Order: sequence, then C-alpha cells, then structure tokens
Amino acid sequence: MSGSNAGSSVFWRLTEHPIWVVSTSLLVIAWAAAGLSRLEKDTSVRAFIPTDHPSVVTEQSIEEIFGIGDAFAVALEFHNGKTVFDGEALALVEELTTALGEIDNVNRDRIASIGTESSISGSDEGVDVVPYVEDPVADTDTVLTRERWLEMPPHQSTLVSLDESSALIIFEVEDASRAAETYAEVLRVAHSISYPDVTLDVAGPAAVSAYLSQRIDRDAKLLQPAVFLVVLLFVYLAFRRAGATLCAFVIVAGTTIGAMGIMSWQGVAYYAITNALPVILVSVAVADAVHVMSHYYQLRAADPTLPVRSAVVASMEATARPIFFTSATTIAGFCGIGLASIMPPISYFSWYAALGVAMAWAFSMVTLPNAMMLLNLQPSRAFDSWRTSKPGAIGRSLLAASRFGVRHPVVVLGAFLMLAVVALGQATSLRFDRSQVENFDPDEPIRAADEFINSKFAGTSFLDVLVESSDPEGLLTTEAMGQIVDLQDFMEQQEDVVLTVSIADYLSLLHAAIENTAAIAPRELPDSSDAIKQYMFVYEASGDPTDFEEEIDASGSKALVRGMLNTLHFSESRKAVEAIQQHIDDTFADSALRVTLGGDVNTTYHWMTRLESSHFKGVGLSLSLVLILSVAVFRSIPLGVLAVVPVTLTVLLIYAVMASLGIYLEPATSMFAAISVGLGVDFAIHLIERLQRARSTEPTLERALELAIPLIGRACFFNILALGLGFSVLMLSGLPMLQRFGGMVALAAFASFAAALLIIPSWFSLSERMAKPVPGKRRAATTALALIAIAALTAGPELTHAEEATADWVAQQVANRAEATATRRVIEMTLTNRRGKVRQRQALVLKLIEPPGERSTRITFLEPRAIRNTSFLSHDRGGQSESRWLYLPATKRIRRIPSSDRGDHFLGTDFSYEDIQSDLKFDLDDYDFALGATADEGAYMLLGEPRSEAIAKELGFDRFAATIDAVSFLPSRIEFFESEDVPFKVVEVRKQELIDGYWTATEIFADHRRNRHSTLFEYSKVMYLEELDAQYFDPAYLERALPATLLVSQ
Amino acid sequence: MTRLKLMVLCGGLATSFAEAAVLESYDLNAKLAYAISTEGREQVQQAVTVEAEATVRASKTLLLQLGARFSFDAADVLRPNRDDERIFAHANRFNRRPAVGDSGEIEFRELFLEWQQGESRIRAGRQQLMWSSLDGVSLFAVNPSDFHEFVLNDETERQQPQWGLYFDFPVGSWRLESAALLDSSVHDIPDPGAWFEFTAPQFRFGAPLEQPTRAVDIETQLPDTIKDATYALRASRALGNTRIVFAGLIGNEYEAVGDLEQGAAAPVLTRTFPRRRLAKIGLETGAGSVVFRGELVGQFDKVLNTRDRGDLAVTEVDVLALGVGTDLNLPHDLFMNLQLLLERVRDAPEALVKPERNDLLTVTLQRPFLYNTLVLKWRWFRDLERGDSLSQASLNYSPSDTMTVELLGAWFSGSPRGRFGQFDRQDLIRLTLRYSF
Repeated sequence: MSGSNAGSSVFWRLTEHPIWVVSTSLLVIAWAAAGLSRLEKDTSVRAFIPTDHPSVVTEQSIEEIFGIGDAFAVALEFHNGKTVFDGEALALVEELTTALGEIDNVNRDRIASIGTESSISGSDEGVDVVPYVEDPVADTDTVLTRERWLEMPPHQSTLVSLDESSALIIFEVEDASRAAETYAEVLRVAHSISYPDVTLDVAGPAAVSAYLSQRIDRDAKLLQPAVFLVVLLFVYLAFRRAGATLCAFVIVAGTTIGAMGIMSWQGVAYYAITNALPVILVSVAVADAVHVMSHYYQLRAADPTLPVRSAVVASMEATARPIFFTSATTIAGFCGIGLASIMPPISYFSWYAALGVAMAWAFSMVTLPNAMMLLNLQPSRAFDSWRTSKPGAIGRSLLAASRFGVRHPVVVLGAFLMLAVVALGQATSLRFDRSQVENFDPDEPIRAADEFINSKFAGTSFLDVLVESSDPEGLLTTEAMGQIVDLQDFMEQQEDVVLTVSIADYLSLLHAAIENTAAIAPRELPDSSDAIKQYMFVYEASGDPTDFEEEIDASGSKALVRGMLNTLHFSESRKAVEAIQQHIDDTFADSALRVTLGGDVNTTYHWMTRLESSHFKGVGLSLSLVLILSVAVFRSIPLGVLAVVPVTLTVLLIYAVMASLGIYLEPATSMFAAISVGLGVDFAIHLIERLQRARSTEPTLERALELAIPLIGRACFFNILALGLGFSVLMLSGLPMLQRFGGMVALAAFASFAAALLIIPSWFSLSERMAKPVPGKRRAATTALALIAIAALTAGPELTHAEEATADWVAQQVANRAEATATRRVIEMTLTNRRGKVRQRQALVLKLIEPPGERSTRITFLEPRAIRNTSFLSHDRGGQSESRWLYLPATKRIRRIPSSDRGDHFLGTDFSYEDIQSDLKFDLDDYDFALGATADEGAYMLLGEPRSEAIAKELGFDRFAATIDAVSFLPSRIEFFESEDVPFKVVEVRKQELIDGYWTATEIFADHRRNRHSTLFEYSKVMYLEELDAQYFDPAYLERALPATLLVSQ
Repeated sequence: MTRLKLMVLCGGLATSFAEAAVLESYDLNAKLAYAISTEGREQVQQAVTVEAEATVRASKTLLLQLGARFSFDAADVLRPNRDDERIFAHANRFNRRPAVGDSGEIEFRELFLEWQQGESRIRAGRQQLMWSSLDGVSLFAVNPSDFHEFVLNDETERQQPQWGLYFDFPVGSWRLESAALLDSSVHDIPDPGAWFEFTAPQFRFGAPLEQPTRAVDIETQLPDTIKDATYALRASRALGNTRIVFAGLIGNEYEAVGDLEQGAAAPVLTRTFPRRRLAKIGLETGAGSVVFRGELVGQFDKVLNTRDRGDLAVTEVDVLALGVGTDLNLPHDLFMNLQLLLERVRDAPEALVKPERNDLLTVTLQRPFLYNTLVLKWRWFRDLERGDSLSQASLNYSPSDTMTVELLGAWFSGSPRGRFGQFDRQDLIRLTLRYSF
C-alpha cells in the first residue's frame, strides 16, 4: 500500500495514533451517555401537536378551569339477572368506589359512580339533592334509587348502563406521569374484591395510555437489546472474529449512545416513536462497519502477509467514497422527513436520525480504522475462499442472481415494473386512521374492557366544547343557555355522539324540581335569566356546591359541554368533529360567546389531519432529496435515478403490504416509509458504485459483476441479514405496534436488497445494449438542468387561499345535499353537433354509495342497437382513486380502462366526468369559493376557482360561476371559464324535482360553446332505493344483462 | 330409432321453449368491404357480410342466443378453395359452413342455451370464450382462430366458436369458470394460393423458402370430437385493486405437427394435432390513468417438429410465454396501449422448427375526434427477434349511430422468414362500410 493518493494519505495520518483516537472516541461516547440520565419521557398524544396549537391551548384551558384530565373507567357487569339496582350490587359499587379512592395518586375529588353522585328532585320544601346510596348502604331503598336515576338523563349511560346491568366508576389521577403504576394498583384492587355474578373491567383513555406506555417500555427494554445482540451475532457470523464484533460494537454503541445522548443534552423528550430511533441507528452504523471490515478481511485473505495498517488503510480507501455517499443520501432522506413534518416527535426523530447517521459515518471513518489496528484483526476463516480470489457460496449465489439480471434484463425489469404497478394499485387503498386500543391484541383484557365499556356506556372518547363569555355570569342567561342546548342537540345528531352533558341539563332538572312537575321536557329551561341564577343558588344551598365544577366555573362565564363518543376510530370521529366545528363557525360567528373544541377526540383529529397533510409530502421530499444527492454523487441522471428506484419500490411495497394487511397510516406506522428510504438506498449506492468502478476496468459486464458482486453483495447480504433478523426479533413482542414495526422494517430491508441486487445489474445490462455515447459537456448540462428541475419541483410554494364564510356555507350546503344510498334511473341523451345533427342514446344508470364515501356507478346503454349492452362501471373510493371498466359486447371482454382527467368528456358527451360523478356538487377541497351578485332573490351566485393549477388542469377550467337554487341547493346554471371572459361551456339544470325527499335534476343541458356541441340529459324512471345488488357493480359480472325489472319498474 | 328419439326430444323441448319464448333483442348488421393491394393494385376483397343475432328469452333464467353470418366475397382472393379448407378447419359436421354458390357461405356463429340463476350461469351450445386479457394477441386461446384475414380483424371476428358446455359460478370471493368443448376444430389456416398464405418456414414444418408449397401430398388427421375434447378451468378474483386469474386447459393443439413419409409418387405429409396442456397466471390492475395487465403462460411437454436435412421428427419441450401490457391515457385525449410478449422454448434442440425465442412488441395509439365520431388509430406489431413488423393505420368515421366507415391500411415489412415479413408484398388498403339495421 503506497499511500500515494489523497485518500490513503488521509487515512495514513488518521491511523498514526490509534490509542489516542479510540480513547477520545470512548470519552465522547461516555460524555453522551451521561446525558441519557436526563432523558425525559413524553408518550402523550398531545406531544404530537405543537404546544401553541389551538386544540392544545383549549385542552389546557379545560384542564385548568374544570380540573378535567384523562380518566380511568372501572365497569362492573352483573350477570344472571342481577341489576345495578340490587342492594348487594349497590353495596359493591360503593365499596369499590371507596377502595379506589384510597389508592395513592387517585384524585378523591374526581371519582364518580352511582355510589358518590346525587339525584335532583323536587319536593314541597324546594329542591332535594339526594345521594343515590345512603350511608350506611343497607338503608338504601333500591326501588327509589332506580326511580331517581331514571329521572336523571345525565347519569344514564354514564353511571349506569341503560339496561341497568352495568355500573361505571370513573376517576382521574393527580399525577399523569404515574398513571402506569396507578393502573397496576387499580387492577390489584379490582381483582381483590370477589363477588358472585359480576365481572370487572378496567379501561378508559388514561388506563389505555398508561398500559400502552408500560407495555412499550417493557417490550422495548427487552427487545431492543435483543435486536442489538442479534445484529452483533450476525456480525460475528459474517466475520467469525470476536475482534470484528467488538469493532462493530464500538461503532454501533457510539452512534446510538452518541445521538441519543446529544438528544438528551438538548432537552428533547423521548416520545413514543423515539423507540424506533436506536434500532435504526444500530442498523445504519453496523452497515458501515460491515462494509469496511469485509474489504479488510478480503485483503487479508488474499495476502496474509499484508501489514494490518496497510490493509486497514486500503479498506478505508476503497469504502470511504460509497460510505460517504450512503451516509449523505440517508441523511438527505431523513432531512426530507424532518423538513416536511409538522409534528414535533417526527421532526425530532428525523433530525436525530440524520445526526446519528452522520455520527455513524464519523465513527466509521475515524474510530473504526484505529480500533481495527488496535485489536490487530487477524485473517478470518469466513474469507478463506478469497485466498484463491474466489468467492464463497454466498458470494457465488448473489453473483448468480445478479447474472440472471444481466442476462434477462427485460424479464427482471418487466417483473419489477409489474410488481411496482401492483403495489401502486394496492397502495391506493391505504388509509389514514387510528384507534388507540388497536395497538393491543384483540384478546388483551384492556382492549376487551375498552370495547365493552364503549358498547355499554356512552363512550370513553370525549369531545369537549368550551363555551366562554367575556362577562361574569354571562352564561347564566336564557340566551346563552339556549345556545348551549342547541349546540348539545346538534352534537347529539351526529352519528357517533351518544350523549352530551352540560350545566344546561342540570338546570333543566332543577327547573323541573322547583316547578315540581313532570311536564317539563328534557333540557327545557326557565324563561328568565334571573331564574337561572336563582336555581344555581338554590342548588348550592341544597347540595354540594362543588357538584357543578366540571360543568361551569365559579364566575359563570365558562362552561363545558362534554360529548361522549363510543367510536374508537379517527375515521369515524372526524365526521363529528368537522360537522360540529362547522356548526360552531356558522352559529357562533356573530355571537358574544366564544366557543372552542377540545377533548381527546379533537386532539386526535388535529394530530391525524396534520399527519394526513404532511406524510406523502415528507416521503416525496425525502425521495427527492435522495434523488438530487444521488444524481450529484454519480454525476449522472440515470445512475442517480437508478439508485432511488429500489427504495421507491420498497416504499411502494411497504404501502401495499400495509394496505393489504389493513394497517393504517398513523404516526407510528408513517415512519415505515422514512425508515425504508433511509435503509434501502444504501444497498443501491454500494452496488452501483462498486459495479461502476469494476466496469471501468473489465471488458465485459459479466466480468465486472464477477469482480464486484461477491464482495459487495456479501457485505450487503450480511448487513441485511443482521438487520432483517434483528428487526424480526421485535415481532416477538406482544404488542401489534412493535410487531408491525419489526416486520415492516425487516421486509423493507430484504426488499431493498433484493430489488437492488436484481434491478441494478439488469439496468446496466439494458443500458449497455441501448447505449449511445453522450458528450461529457452535454451530460453535465443535462445533469444541472435536471437538478434545477427537481429542486424547482420539490420547492414549489404552496398555494394559500382566503376563505369567505358565506360562500363556503353555500358550497357546504350544496355538498350536503342529500343523496340516496342507491339510485336507479334512465337517461335519454341527446347530442347535437355544430351542424344541428342529432344523435340519441338511452342508458340505465345505477349508483350505489356504500360503504359511505365509496361510490359505484354503472351505465348500461340500451339504445341505439350498435352500442346496446355496452356497460361502463366506475368505483370511486372517496376521491382517492378511481377504477373504471368497460364492457363492449362486440369484444366479449371486460376491460379495465385507465381513468381520464376529471374534466374529460364523459362517454363522448359535453358533460365531464366531474359533472356526472360529482352529482352537480363542488368538492370543497378543490376550490376557493366566493359569492357573486345575482338578480335572482331565490338563488346564490357561487364563484369557484380551483385551488391549484394542477386541479385546474385536471378539471379543464380556470373558474366557474354557478347559480345555486336557495331551496334545493341544486345549481340551476354553471358557467365554466378558461382565460376568456365568456364561458366556454354552460351547464343548465332545466328541470328539478323532489323525488322521495331527494332534490333531483331531471333535465340537464350542457352547451359546449367553443365546440358548438351540446348534450341534453333527460332522466326518467328515477328511483331511490335502500340497496342495490352489489353484483351489478362487480366488474367480473359486467357482461351480464341486467334484469328486466330494473328497466321497467317505475 | 335413436335419431328419431333424439328428434322427438329436441322437438318437444323446442316446442315448450317456443311456447314461453319472447324475442328479447335482435341485431342485423351488414358489412361491405373492398380491399386492394397497394403493390399490384389487385382487388383482394369485394365482400358483403350480413350478421344476424337474436336473443330469445323463455323465462327469467333461461334464454337462447342465436347468431349467424352470411358472407360473399366476389374477389375470392382471401379465401379460395373453399371446399378444402372447410373440411380441414371444421371437421365436426355441425361446424360446416353451407356454401352459397362459389363465393358465399353461411356460418352459425352462436347457438346456445343459457341458464342463469343469481351469479351462476350454464351455457350449452356453440359459443366463444375470450380468456386472454391482451389485445390482438392471445397467449391462452381457448377457441381456434380463422387467419384468412391474418390479424386485421378483431379477435372476436376471427375467433371460431365451438360446441360445448360452459359453467360459471362463484365460490366465496372467487369466480370459477369451466368449459368442456366437444369440438375438434383447429385453426383455420389459409391454404396455398390464399392472399395470406403462411409461407415462412416456421409455419411450413421448416420447409425452406424455395421449396414449393405443393411439393408434397398432405394428409390431415383431425382430433376426435369426444376423445380429444378440450377442458378448461379459470378461477379469478379481485384482490384490492387487482384482479388475478389462474387458468388451466387440456385439449388438442390448434397448430399441426407434421410427419413426412415417402409416398408412392411424392412424399406424404401427415398433419396431426397432439394434446396440449396450458397453465396461466394473469393479473390486471390500474392506478389513475394507467392500467396494467400481465399473463404468464406455461405449456408443458408441447409437441413440436424438428427438421434435420428434410427429415421431420417431433420432440417434447416446455414453452413459457410472458405477456405484459399497459394502457395509458395521455394528454390531448391520446390513448396508448403497449404490449410486450416474450416466448421461450426451454432446452430447445437446434433442429427445432419453431424459433426458440418469439418476442413481440405491439404499440397502439388512438385518438378520437369530433365527440368520438372520428377515431384515428395506429397499431404496430414488431417481432423483436426477427425484426419484421406490421404497421396498421385506420380511420373510423361514424356519420350516424347506424353507419360506420373504416379506411384501413396494413403494411408488412421484413424478411420472408418472419411472421410479418412473409407478407411483405401483401400490403393492402381496405374500405369497410358497416350498417346496423
């Protein structure tokens, strides 16, 4: 080893003082390790939202004003005909309530059950606030208790289930950080009480969070070291030298402890997803060490007389460049996620992962060569075959695989293309969703308990509304209370809101009690503000003055409306949040009251919607940055793109597998793609770099493969095996969350390696077959242009828009126009061309909206004969993706057809696909709305502009002006404009009818003025149905004739 | 006596069917085609074709489908020597096409009873099965084809219906289809003298180009209707956004294998149609403006000819074929279909008549104008191994819903040994007028 070039001279100098370098490195690691003691855990949901976000601010206000926090819930279910209103049952509830109240950390003032609460009733003396359970319990008249409970709607489905078979004890803790130990104590107390014919369940948001946090900690503590050990075991198997394993350990420990330690020193908390960080860093760090040491052992095997230092320097020389490239691209990948993410834990994860990769690179370049020298690594038996410069069995197998790619490039690339398309197709069904309890196995007691409580009671998910007045006692007025009651009524109309409770409920009960009549309807309030204030005073005199502190503050200016939801999924609760927020915006915009949403359901909503808006942007940015760096690294666009192809495939595959297994995209799983990018790109870069270098010296590609693949492939293979099997250890966890993490990352690692091993040689082979030399300057210019283009594409500014409430309200009303689940109608189409020539068609149209948000449309032509039985079918999955099929009787084939742009002509008419499939509605996400002037008093003029050029291009117009009927909210006329001031197309609803309660356009005319062509749709035999046979919408059966009953019945 | 009983039974069934029958729909279409060769300005086709179809329903679950085609070609260039080929291609007497004069014939296209209950369906009679998902080329052909107009017509037009039973029923999420075809028809290959006569060696048992077609006497041993029946099974289901298909088929070959023996006067070539076994995996999926479909077909122990210095022998080899295709909606209403078909004969002996590799690329570009009344289409077939190609451009105009005019040009190029190059001098332009009554 001469050390004549720049690289080797650097490494010669770096290895002059191995003891000093290794000692300094160990000191740095020790310093970082000291910071780990400062690590603070924050596994709360709220951590995922910036602290100044309105939902967090409201949540904190609610906590401060009403003292409400996450609750535990203990349910008692009585069997064999026993009900809660049984003497022994009530005694048990009371006993358990008392026992739970004595647990350390349980807030005794915040425990509620039928044993602690009171009913309100009227009497000759005024208002009676009487506890349900007497002291002693034996004095309780259970029949009377039941009657009083029946008169207290706020306590129904909350303290006792409606079927009276179950009772609930709800309580909060004083210190949320000790919730896990409190949970264990609650379980102990609950199980210590034995009573025949009763089952006890412990759940509630606080219990679920505590249990999850506890399980993650326990599993992570057990399994993360196991991952570490498995990885090191495979390093040992790869090199069969303890010294090599020790070197790898130093790099891995230095990287992991270093990055995590710096994170702690900087005061960044340890979030739930930070669990993944050490394992990622282990994998990246070990990869660098494996590559360097593989080269070292190969050199030592080929020439055992080579001095250690020379072999070390030569290995560093050979691997420094690819390791730098892989580190840079991995850092770029994580930076992309960090830049795009708006959730602090994900941002921190990405930045510290990037830092860790940089540290892994630094340790590999500086500490590793010195450690190798210090340990004086001797030749390894694992590399014996290299003595004759022949690779071992693994190297030969990998060579055979890559050779297949070189010999059959079209087959390999075609197969991967097919896989990519299939994966893409599958990935389109991936959805954003979250349910905390689904982090547990279905047979976990806490999951069963949570599901039981949600099924029996009003629910453990809370959507709170904070109502504030600027005046003291400003809420104790008939007007304010009326608005609160209206709000409660609206909330309870939402599908998943089971019950709402507010001070208005209790005032209504007081009203009934004071009037001493049963004729008062629920939530009926007195008609004078003074009466409301007096009722509050009366209650304070009759009952516990603190009873209402969860509903209204002492000044009477802040009240809480608590909505209880029994849904566990974000996808379901979001509908309620959006509808209620819209209602608040519409109703309280001009009110003196300030109304804001809070509660865990609202927090989850904001958390998930932020993820939804940023996830794909982050992955896209990450891939773009990796692409830019790869192009720069190889100074070649094709090679840069090639490096990104395997990892892109892997990301697609991950999405496809997630979609197939029904794994939602949520904060934890959203990291899979980022990790895949970080891990996957390395293999491709190593392979390309080595193959490119070998190709420059070897006469044929196959010779270059023989030189490059066995060594680099072997190194990558052991790296992947270590990673894959290491991560697979996480699948032993009892938590589906960790199982998924382990499984997906292992899959990503194997997929990236396999894709790189096959695709890269195939691409080299294909490109050589088709190669034409490109002049250097031209290539450089093309590279520069491409880099600029990529940068411009990724750095494009987001369009902003100003909303105008009234216009949005009109658009919302149009969007809210009711649609039936299933529709059958016949269309007479009349198409008139510029010469006045008329063509007519008749078609049967079937539409099914099931499940909600998914729309299937089938159009079967009845006339003319030439196209009879031609059928068109589309499945629109909530605007995310659309699939279409066409059956042409002449071809006897059902053909899947590609989707067109939404603005394209619909089956050769003047209507666009958007006109037909939107049912004359305007997608609220697509447009900025404004209101224009109209002479028609019974109509609104709604103006809309697509929110981006891409949407405008897809829709085929720049703006529209729609006259909206103020009664039906059907547009009576829509004018579509491009750049000109005159519309190029006008759609008119010439006739509208109210059929079965649905406003229906029965005659629509589209006049394409630019083409001087028009289409008239006349609908007849319109029938709204509760259901239609799903077979009519199954593409496999599109060739079947529709039953005559569908055609003739009215 | 048996025949009498059968006639009585059929008569009885027909009478009871007719009593309840209602004519549900009918179609009558006429086609006039006039084609000339671009090289010799020779008239290739002066044909009139009338197709009639009717659906007769006896009950909610039972219907009868009838379809017949009458064709008359005054030019007699595409399909000369009608008697010979009719016997060859349609050995089953129920398949024969009654001749009308020297240049006309009648063919029953479809004649089947269909029973449908829910998602299940049974068909009995003469019918077509289209089980290939690719366009213009079929890797998994259930029915044989008529190649007198080569591949210029649609697959349904050139595919030959067959007699048999077809069952279609769901099993869970799967759709299972099976067919038993009691029909010994084989490909209808143009005979010597026909415009599209296959002259390339691979279609003539490896006979060199210079060897005249009529140098040998030909004998044909057609498969037996019952013993050599074709059985096919297909299972398909949707998996998310993707439809996957598994299929298998056992039946007789549609392309002949030859055996050459010295006869009394001239050598005698005996053409036989051995059994074939096919298996297929296919899928079709899509995302946005892209649709992707692919098929992997394996034919096991396929009997093929080898030729060594004029001696014909047979060998058994496995043949694998992969077909991938994609449909793309491009900007400006442009539709593109790309297909790549790769076929490999495994462990092919050197003397094999069929080429070891058979790779084909097809590109289709289509653009509608004037609200789909005018459609321009260009289609290109390229044999990647031999470099020959077929370029086909058409302009389709529909002045009304009942009438369509099509102008089609087909240009062949390449070596006379290739599947397209053999027609290098057969370029033609065809004008077709279709009218629906």
